Amino acid sequence: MYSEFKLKSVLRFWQELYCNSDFSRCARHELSIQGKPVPINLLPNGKTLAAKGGSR
Amino acid sequence: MSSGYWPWWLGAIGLGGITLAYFRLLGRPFGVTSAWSRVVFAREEIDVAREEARIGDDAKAMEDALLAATLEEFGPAAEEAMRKELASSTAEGTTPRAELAKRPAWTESLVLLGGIFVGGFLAALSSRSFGVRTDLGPEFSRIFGDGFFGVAALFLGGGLVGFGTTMAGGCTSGHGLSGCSRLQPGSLVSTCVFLGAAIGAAFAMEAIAR
Repeated sequence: MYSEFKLKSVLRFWQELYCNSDFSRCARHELSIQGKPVPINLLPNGKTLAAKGGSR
Repeated sequence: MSSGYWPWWLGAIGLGGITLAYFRLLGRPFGVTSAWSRVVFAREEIDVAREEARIGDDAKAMEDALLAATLEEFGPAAEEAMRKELASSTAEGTTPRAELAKRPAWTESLVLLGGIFVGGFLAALSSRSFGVRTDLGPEFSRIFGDGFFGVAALFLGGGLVGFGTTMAGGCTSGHGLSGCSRLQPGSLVSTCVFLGAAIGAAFAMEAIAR
């Protein structure tokens, strides 16, 4: 997700909470350590960004 | 060459060249474990690729969705930070643009794994050492024996390799070649542990086999 989106101030919030803090509860990290593909629209909180805006 | 192997320095140049070429051509670090994972999880790879194709190139819509999700998760603090960054970048004429990265097809990993077999085959042919064998050589037989125990040792070793590389997030190619060449701390530690454990296990097996 971080390489795809360019608004750094937005990403910083996610990084602080999930990457630099308790990354064990990051949904992206969880998939990654299982060796599974990580969708670009999966948020660290487990929600998925919908193409038409918002998350589900 | 007399042992059937290429000279060590030629192998080193080849491995370094492959690591560089792989990154240059595909834009991602070379790693055999990740290639296996992508092939094993091919169904999931296809599902994700289909979903991302549905999203298409509409990066702007995704960026908007990310902004909305961030506001929902973090509230006014995120809104303030976003407003500041947008104001600053607009003033500088460098408004951030979203750009969706292309996911490499999982079949690229399949080609890599196939290439390992083909490369090994060609190397064996070129050194005139190709031949069908049902054993792993006298040294393996001396330590583990032949028959059931030899096969059981192979299964156990394979299982431990799979378990360890999954725990470490990579193997000797991913961590040792791609990670160490980029001075990644995790890869440097992992490679030291791989090699240290391998040397220790080799000494232990030798001592037990005596």
